[in-house]
Amino acid sequence: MRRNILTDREVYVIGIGMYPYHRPAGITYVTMGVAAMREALHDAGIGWQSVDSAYVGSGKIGMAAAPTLARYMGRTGLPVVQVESASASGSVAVRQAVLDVASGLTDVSVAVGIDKAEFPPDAVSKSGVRGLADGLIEFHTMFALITERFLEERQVTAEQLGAVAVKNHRHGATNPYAQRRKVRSLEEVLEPPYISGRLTRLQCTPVGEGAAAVVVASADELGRLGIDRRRAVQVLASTHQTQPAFANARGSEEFAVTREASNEAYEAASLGPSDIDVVELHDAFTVEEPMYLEAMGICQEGRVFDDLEAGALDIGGRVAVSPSGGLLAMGHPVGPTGVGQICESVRQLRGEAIGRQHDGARTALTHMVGVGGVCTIHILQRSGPTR
Amino acid sequence: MNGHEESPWIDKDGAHELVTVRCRECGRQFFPPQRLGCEGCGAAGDALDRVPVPAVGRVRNVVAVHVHPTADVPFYVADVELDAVAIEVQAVVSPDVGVGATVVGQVLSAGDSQPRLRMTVTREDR
Repeated sequence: MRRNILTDREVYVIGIGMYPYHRPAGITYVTMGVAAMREALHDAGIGWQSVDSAYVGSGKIGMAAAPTLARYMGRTGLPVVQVESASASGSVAVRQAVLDVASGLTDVSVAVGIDKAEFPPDAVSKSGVRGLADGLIEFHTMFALITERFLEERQVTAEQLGAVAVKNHRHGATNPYAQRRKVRSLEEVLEPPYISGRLTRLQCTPVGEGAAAVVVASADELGRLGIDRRRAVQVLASTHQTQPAFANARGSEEFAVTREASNEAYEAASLGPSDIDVVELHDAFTVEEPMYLEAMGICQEGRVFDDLEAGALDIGGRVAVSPSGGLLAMGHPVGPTGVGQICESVRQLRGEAIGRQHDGARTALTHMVGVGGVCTIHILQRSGPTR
Repeated sequence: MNGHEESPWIDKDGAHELVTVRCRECGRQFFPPQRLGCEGCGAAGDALDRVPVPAVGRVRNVVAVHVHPTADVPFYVADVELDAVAIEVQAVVSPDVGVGATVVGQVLSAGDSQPRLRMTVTREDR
């Protein structure tokens, strides 16, 4: 039985920083990563000398990114490690930082996510296992197939699915850190070009770059540093799972592992899906948002599209889903993405998400999945009395 | 070709078969073939029996692919439920394939590179 060390030793996010996500450009990952880390430290009111360990989340950057980034913050000798979990690279970097503090190994740790819009061959393609369509099935094709199955099984139309993108593009339009900041009509969302199957360009996450960083600290350290507790956000759960083998080949691994990992997170946090006010999830393609909302119990089975149409999933609704714009509008630079979700959640819980604030936000859930059936979930809660 | 790679399909008297694998330890049957280890129980080597089955199945879903870094587009990819065993494979299919169609494996020679098996509609379903 796993012990929840976050109840033994409380961990708080005390600083956040972002380099806005944008289309591929000539800015180096070092420039972006250092900028995001400095902003997070400034937000926390501490210097790099106070940081005991750092994790760099990246899916694609290559060897030795962690010390290459850290040296320009000042070479203090702290341990720095790069971690990878495909799309969930940033999320696992956050988790490692959280675990360092929760275990008592450190008092202050940093997680920074970085990546460039380059696409080196991944390890899956090097496995030597040959199927019938090797190298031909990109993620958009994989999710286009899932979309076909989903539309048929759920008796949902392409227009209803397109409404997910309309919502997320509308949220992104209010987010200065988002890559896509245009309000889009349903007609625009459904227009060609098609990428795979029914997935149009605006129903797929864009290719982009950026950086995001968070600083986490122990409760004792908050006191020592004189941190304003009203701006400190507690990490109630930080879970990571991989999907066990299916009995047969059918079904979506991403759905199943999301369900299991979210159940573990709710149990660790001693709360349920109805306690969640803000959700940031892996909406790289429109079909993913309803899938994961159901898998996590945020929406009842079969009710996601009713909720969406009623505005229940908007900023200001029952639960704000993808208030940042999600991967669809905010973007998915990979390494930064999971860290950026924590940043957005913290802004919402602090009441500082100017122009896109979900009123009364107290508890947030972030969700990322990665190639190979991996899933990382964080649950965050603001400290202090309910406003 | 190193020791771990094997072709996922074979010729059998003019027709084609997909090489599935059945694990003797736990009974799991899977595709594509590999000798690395059973995803169900981790058994490897002699525990993994090759079980070729006819490359025939029904199309569950099919999508056109319009964007790809290297391949010529559009091409078509489908989830195909095999007739012989409860395994779903992802395969390149011919453009005329619709949901529910029966498809059979056909070899596409692609010049120098290894021939690829594509699943195409059978005459009866055209």
